[in-house]
Amino acid sequence: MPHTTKRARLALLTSVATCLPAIAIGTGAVPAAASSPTVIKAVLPPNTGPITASDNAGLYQLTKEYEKAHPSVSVQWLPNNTSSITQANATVESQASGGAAPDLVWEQYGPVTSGSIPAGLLQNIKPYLEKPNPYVPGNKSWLSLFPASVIAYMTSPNGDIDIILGSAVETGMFYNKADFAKAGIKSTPATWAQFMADLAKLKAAGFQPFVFADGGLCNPSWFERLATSSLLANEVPKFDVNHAQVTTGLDDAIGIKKGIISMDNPRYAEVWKLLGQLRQYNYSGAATYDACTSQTATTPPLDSQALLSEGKVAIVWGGSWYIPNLNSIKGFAGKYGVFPEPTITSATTRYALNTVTRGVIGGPNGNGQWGVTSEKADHTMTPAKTAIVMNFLAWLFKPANLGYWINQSQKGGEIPIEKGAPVLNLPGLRSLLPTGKVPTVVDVVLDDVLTTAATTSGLRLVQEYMDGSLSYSNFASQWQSLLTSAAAAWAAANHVNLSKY
Amino acid sequence: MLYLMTNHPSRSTALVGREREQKRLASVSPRMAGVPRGSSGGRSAGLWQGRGRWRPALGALLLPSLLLIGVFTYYPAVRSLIGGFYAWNGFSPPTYVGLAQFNQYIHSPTFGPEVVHLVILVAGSIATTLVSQFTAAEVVTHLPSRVGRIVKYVLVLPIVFPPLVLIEVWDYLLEPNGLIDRIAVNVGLPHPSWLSNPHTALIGILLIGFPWISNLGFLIFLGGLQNLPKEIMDAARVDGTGALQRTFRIDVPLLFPQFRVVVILSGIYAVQNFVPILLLTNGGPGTATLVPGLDMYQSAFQNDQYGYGMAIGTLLFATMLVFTVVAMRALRPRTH
Repeated sequence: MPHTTKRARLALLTSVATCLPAIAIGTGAVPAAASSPTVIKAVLPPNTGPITASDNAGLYQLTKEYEKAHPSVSVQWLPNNTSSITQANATVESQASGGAAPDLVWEQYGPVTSGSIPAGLLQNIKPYLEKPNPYVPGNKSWLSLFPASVIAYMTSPNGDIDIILGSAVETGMFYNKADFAKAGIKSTPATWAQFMADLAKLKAAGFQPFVFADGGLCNPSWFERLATSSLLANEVPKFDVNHAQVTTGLDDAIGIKKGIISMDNPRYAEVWKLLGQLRQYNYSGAATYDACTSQTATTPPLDSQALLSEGKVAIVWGGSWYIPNLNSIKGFAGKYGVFPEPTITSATTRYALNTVTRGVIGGPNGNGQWGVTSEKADHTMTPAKTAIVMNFLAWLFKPANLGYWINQSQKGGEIPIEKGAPVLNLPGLRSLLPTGKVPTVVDVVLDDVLTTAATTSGLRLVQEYMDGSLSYSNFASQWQSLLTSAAAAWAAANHVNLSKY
Repeated sequence: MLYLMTNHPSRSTALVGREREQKRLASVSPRMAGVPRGSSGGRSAGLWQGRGRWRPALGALLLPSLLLIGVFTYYPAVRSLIGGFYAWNGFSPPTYVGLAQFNQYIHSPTFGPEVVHLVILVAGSIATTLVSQFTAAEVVTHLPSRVGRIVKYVLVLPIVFPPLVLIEVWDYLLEPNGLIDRIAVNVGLPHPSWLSNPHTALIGILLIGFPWISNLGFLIFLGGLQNLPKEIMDAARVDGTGALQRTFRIDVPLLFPQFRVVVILSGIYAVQNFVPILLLTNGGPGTATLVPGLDMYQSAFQNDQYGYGMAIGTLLFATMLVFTVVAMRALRPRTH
């Protein structure tokens, strides 16, 4: 009997001892190594691979230079394998719920300034930006290095700046020159009516005219921005209370409440009727493709650039980031052209205001967009660490450095934003740049402005509408329900009483 | 004649033989013979000794496993059941909302299509599993031993491949102008864009894994068939029973326990396995392949509606519980 008791005690002690290290690690009771450097965890731009990939060579070099000059700081770059900002935000919010978000997270201005991201997840970095960039001799403030138009994109309605923006993209329609020639199209369309006529000519000539790739958000959201900003341009003052470059969640919620952003408003409904006109020219496999997905994607959504370069469609919507990619395809450089998105004029609809929308879709959405997470989202973040993170960002955003790593990474497809940053000026890019003031961008459902759930549901509705599963009337009914519920959800999440507007 | 075989003397002979074997083993090692605890046969192998005493050594060794299962399996499940009653975005404090999220899901515009798709996928999965895997097991069982062994290995080997490999292969086959479409064009058959056509997307999902043999069900049926009483098979052969008659009159009734297990496992797997849909269609085009499992995942991890996602999960759990109970009762073994 004593022998059994002794053995039992030994077994019990062994099992408890096995559990102890796991408990200790789990509760953080294991002491950290003494004198460890500050480790900055930063998320890389999407679709660039790890820090050692060729796309990140410039960033890697600058990081090493910084670490050499600051031996107590180490930067750990995390690959960004997300396929959209929706997915990226879901990732960072999941991490933040456990206090384990990285220090620097990839973001886009839309969700950050709209109120879609939970309050308190990102820090207000304006105090740092109002001080001089320590790596730029003679500057009065870091903010002064940014054009005023870009600062408007960075600023939230309450005046905070929760995101820093590094580069801009521009967008347009990429077309196959040979297909245009065979279809008898001698010049690129400047208006929507001309665009529709050209699509008809291409179809008559036996070509697949166009792909509205709605396997992801890029095509649907560009169309929503273009058409809504154009057709509602004269009604924006009725619901725009923040007067930002891009309408925020509050602006949209007010617009929905007032019935301006509503399918009962014929001006807004016209946006979706115009989209329906594209159905007859759309590539039948469109739901498998996305305009912004990685070129190396092997599961849907696949990259729609391939449809153009392989001659399967005559026109694809895309961005300046396409230019280096298409030029690198053997034999394809020079065989494609690009023109800005056509203007919606009265030749298309009586609701047209002839608004020039060049620059509405693009903007400071390129690489180099980061937010700094708060202490609640990242338990390793402290005021001291924030200062170190911002110092590292200041190094990356020294104009010469910014231009260097953006140009090295994107080969001219993205335009470094800061004044004095070198720009590559690719052929074809200049035609996409805005020539005047960019009108207020009305961004509603498909860019995470209201809620991510609304964006997800909205994309599904657009897919069903474009593949013919939904008639216009059914689509209109469901879209209206979506607008109403999304506005209510936004207001509840942001504790806003819409009745006072 | 065939039904009387269940009371055939040769079966009684087998039972007598088994009892003799038990007695022989008992004389060597009571534990091997399964002698009950506390009998004059010797020490118990279980946790409890006689007279209410337990074996602390075994209990202590079980402790880490129980802790891990409790923390990583039961706690998340219970937490999820409770979480459906709270609205939570994963970051801000949760808010109690009662049954609101359950109602929201049931009344959502996608609930009906999701249920329909789920029923189609579960029914299709069970049907393909039962037919293809049972048929394959039947064929392999009655092949000459060497050939049967080789065929068995060839059919079982794909089980070890990562599921993602299978999904990638089928994406290549089903994508617009994929291999299947190119073959169809060359022979003059229709070539739908399988995964981007709302009418064929769900069929495309069901096609994944064709001919649906390399799976656990095949092994379950194979094991069952190979352990059928030899006397019955011999008697059937002597009686001149054909292969089809033997299959439906003897094999299927005797394998009812296996059928029940396979039906339940296939159904549960079909409900839980939304990964192919996530990777190939993301529930689209539109809602053509949207299922509750994917809605649950996207609500929680994409839309930051964790409470809503947990509510969907709770409803799914309840549904599968009912399905399991019904299947257990409906597919009770018909022979003794």
